[in-house]
Amino acid sequence: MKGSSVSVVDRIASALKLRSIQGSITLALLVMVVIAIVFMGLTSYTVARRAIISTAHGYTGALVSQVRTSIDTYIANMESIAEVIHRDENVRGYLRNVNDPGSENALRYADSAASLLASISQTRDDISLLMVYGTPDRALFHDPGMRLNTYASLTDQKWFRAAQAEEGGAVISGSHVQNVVADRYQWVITLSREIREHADNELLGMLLVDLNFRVIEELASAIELGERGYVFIVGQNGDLVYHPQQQLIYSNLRHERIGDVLSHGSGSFTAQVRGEDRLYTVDAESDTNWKIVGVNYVDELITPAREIQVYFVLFGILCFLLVILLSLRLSVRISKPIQMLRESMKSVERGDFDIQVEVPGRTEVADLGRDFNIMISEIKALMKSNAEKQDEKRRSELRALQNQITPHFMYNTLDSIIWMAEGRQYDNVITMTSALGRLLRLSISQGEELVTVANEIEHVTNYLRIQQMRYADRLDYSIEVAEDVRRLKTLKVVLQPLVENAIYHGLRTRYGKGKVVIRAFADDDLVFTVSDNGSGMSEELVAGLLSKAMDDLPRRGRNGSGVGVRNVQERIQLYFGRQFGLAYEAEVGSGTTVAVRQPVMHSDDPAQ
Amino acid sequence: MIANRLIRRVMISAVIVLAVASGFWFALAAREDGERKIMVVLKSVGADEAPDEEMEFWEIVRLGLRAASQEYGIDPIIVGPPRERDIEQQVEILAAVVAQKPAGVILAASDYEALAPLASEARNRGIALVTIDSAVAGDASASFVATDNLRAGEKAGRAMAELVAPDKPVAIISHIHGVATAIDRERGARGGLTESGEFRILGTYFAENNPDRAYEIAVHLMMEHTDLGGIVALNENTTVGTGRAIRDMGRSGEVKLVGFDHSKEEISFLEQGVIQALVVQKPFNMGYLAIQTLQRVMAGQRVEPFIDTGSRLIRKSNMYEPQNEKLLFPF
Repeated sequence: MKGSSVSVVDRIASALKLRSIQGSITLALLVMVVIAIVFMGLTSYTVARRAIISTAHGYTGALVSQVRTSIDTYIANMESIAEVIHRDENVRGYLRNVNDPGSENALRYADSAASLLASISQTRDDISLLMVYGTPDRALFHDPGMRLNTYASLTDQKWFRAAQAEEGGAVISGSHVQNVVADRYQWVITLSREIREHADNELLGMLLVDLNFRVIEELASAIELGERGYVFIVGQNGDLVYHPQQQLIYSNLRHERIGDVLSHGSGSFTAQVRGEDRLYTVDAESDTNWKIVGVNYVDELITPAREIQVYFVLFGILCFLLVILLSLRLSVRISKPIQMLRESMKSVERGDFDIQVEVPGRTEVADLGRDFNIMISEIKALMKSNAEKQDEKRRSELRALQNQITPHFMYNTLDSIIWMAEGRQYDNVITMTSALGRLLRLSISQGEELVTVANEIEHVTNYLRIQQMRYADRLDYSIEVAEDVRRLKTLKVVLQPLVENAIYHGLRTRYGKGKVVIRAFADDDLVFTVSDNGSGMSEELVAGLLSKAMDDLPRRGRNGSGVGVRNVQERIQLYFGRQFGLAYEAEVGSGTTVAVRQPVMHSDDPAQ
Repeated sequence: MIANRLIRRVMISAVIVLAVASGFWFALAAREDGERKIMVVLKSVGADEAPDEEMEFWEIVRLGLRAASQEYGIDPIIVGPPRERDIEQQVEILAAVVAQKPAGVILAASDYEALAPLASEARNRGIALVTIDSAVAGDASASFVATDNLRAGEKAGRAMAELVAPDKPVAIISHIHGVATAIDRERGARGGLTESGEFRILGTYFAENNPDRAYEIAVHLMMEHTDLGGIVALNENTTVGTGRAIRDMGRSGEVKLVGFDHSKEEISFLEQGVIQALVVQKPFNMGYLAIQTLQRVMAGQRVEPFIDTGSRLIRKSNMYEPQNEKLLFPF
């Protein structure tokens, strides 16, 4: 569990290598995620945009028609006020007597008419001016303090002319500054209507109802269409009744799609103004023939759709990360077991067959791990049986070698017995035969390959006795065994062939008494030495004696004693290894000493 | 062990996801909060106790500011002294504004020299500065958004030249000596008068921005020069004073008057025929263009050093045309 962050970075780096398994997985997943996100993002954006715009159209349409209804209500009010004034007999009386203002009748009518106007205006805040006008230049206002602006020629005013053209019908004029009252300039919507005699339709005068334009302004400016959206009102001829940025439009600092609005009926359209899409929602249902227009900035409307895009980008990044993490996790799940398997294989290469791979899970790689384990244990069993076979082979070889000794010695001993029997030395024959018997028992009775040093010494003693008898006075021997080695183990029938060789090589060719000295002691190893005082051996002879070439075996007929020595050497080395075995010290004329080295083995030690 | 590692991995993933997500939200939030502060220092924001006639001009400027602000989705803070003549107070206000280090400042300087040091300090602090109506000394302002008074004066002069027979003398009554707007208007008026021939210009008379003084000058001129063809008055006070003199002397229509601005009295004189023409500024446009220009400056775009907000010559015959109605009667 070392530095996770580092390993994460490494993993990311390795995952991005396209050739690796996880690289391919990552790439495939990423491509899928990107395609899915882009597709979904674009689709949802388009759908959302369409839905938002149609909602905005509906919403704006409702607001705009609300403005229209309110305006129509105001206008209807103005019309009903006009109707009241129009019908009023006092007003008509005033107008009939307008050219004789001083008369009692005129004054009475004027008073009553003025108080009608005053009482009407008192009930309505939105009405800014009520006026009854008779030519030439006589007027009644709702406020008796008001005077006619004599510099403003009324008859030239648009609203005056429009009413004249209507001949008794009410006319609504768009927003303008009303200047009929001296020193009073107010923005109003004007209703003007001629007053005519019922009987002969003779013109009596003009009546005027002004609606304070601020009412309309407030109505329209109160509508909020997003941060920047607005409402404007266009008159029949394309003149602006209300626009929040009227001055900018007149100064050409701003452009408004008035032409488009005029050519459209109720409904909505989008138009580009200064590089921005705007949604125009037109209501043309008003009784005034005005068109009320709501303007939305499309950019503003689709902010939610933009947000959806942002969410998708966010979501996309999340998915990206998830994919990377997922592929890391996958790569760990796939490559780690493989890595483990590879490590195990390496240690098997180094010769460790005891290993068991532990690949967790149920993946294919885990199966592979289990198969690998089965394979390893099979190989291990195979190798074990192979080793056992090798061992068996070695043992049988050993037995074969050991078996070579007995017939060879038997042959020589029986030869001696025959020779003594021929010489009628019957006591000697008995002694020798019993010694031979003990010798055989020692080498046969125990099937073991290892015997105690004591046994081995006894064995060689019996042998020497036999030989002493054969060579009579000519052979002398002594045996010196260190007390501490008596219970150590030794390969059996080691000394006898060496003694045999010492007698045949060293003593038989010598004139005079020969002596064989046997010693047993332990330094680091168990050492036997067999010395004779014979004629010694040449180096070539020593080399020949220890030559391992088994092809030389058939030569034993000519030089039989060499067979035994080589046999001892081979057995010790088969049994204990090359570092053990025989070493000759010989010089021509001064005797021979052979030392046998074996490892120290106590009797309770297991063999090997 | 495996559980541990799993938990750790999940936690690392969670941290990465959170970090990325929060980065996103911060970016979004920054974008939303990125609406940079804009402050407007006007010559006057009005005082409750003394509603100023000249306040109307600034009211309309503010309407223009508001219209543009809505369009750009910003919310400027508008400050200023109660009256135009409170120069020291405006200096203090500007100092406080500069100390707040807003992104942009719009300044209508009530004094050409007094506000110049603060203006250059603002510039040194990296505040985008746009001046409106009246400039300050130095080059601290990225753009000057105002009425081109030379052209406004020309319009007045040209209108006078059309109204008066070439053999009659004409006088100019200026509101103040040595002020840039007055100098420009006078130069423009003289240029407009002499454009189509030689006019006898009696001279330029200074009324110290006082209608009574203008009245005296006008009466004196009419008495001295019985053949006086007309008077060009260069601001509201001189126009009103001159108008009153012409009316009182009973010379309406005989002595032509071309004036500036659009007070109620002037409009009344225009209707009565005392005044033949008025040159009207466009304060709404001034406010609107000020914001527009400042936005461009803050966006690093190039702007013209001087932006003319325009003026309009209005006669009795066209005073109720829609384009002029809104200028003459803003409310």
